[in-house]
Amino acid sequence: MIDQDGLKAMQDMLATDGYRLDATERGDRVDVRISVADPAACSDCLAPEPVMRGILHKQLKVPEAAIELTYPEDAG
Amino acid sequence: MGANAILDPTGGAGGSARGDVLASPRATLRGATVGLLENTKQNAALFLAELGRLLSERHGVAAVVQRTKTAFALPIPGEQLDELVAQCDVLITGVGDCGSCSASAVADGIAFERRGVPAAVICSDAFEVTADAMAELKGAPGYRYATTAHPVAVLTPGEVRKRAEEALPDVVELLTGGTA
Repeated sequence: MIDQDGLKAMQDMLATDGYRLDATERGDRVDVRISVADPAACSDCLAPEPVMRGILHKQLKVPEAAIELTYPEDAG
Repeated sequence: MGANAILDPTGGAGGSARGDVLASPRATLRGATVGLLENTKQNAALFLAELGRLLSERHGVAAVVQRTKTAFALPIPGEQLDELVAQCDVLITGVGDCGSCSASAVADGIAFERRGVPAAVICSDAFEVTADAMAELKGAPGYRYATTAHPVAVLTPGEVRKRAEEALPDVVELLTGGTA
């Protein structure tokens, strides 16, 4: 179960840098999709994926291995 | 919380949250060489330079060494870490004014601490989530750093200097444990 307070904190933090975060639970997996909300978003301001995965684990309180993380450049 | 504050995510009342693997604070800044590691974010160089100037003027700091990170989103390169550890008694780094740079600033601060150099990390308050998470990931939960209100990038030079002056007491406390 995703920690909703942690999710909100992540969403607020990423919004400050111009990004949107959506998290969806699918069985024992958690899909986390980060997308560009502001065309002026700074791409370097997004933490590298391994760091972001660790941060999401701490904030969402879900196992790191359960997180399916999609970055803006990965979105189809 | 004011414009600047030392953040203790453990909620401890003035207790140390530095962890037993981190450097002991320096008793005094008088005569010290202070390293300033600016991360290329807008206004970071001025913010740190002003802190350096104030520390020299008010706390008897002997020398200031200012260096620039090559990439704000990444940890400090080993060679630059070695150089600053060799030259400096304490270090100030920032400004963590975005997700990646706040995380890397905290990682850098912990890296200096583990090399025996007390460090003061400055992050803007919008990025406490990433700063705290990075501290946990680095095995230093509750690592204390100074915050200033977000954003820093849009401030005028005069406003940046004012922010630096407001941050000074917290920076001194982080470096000295409040003994200066």
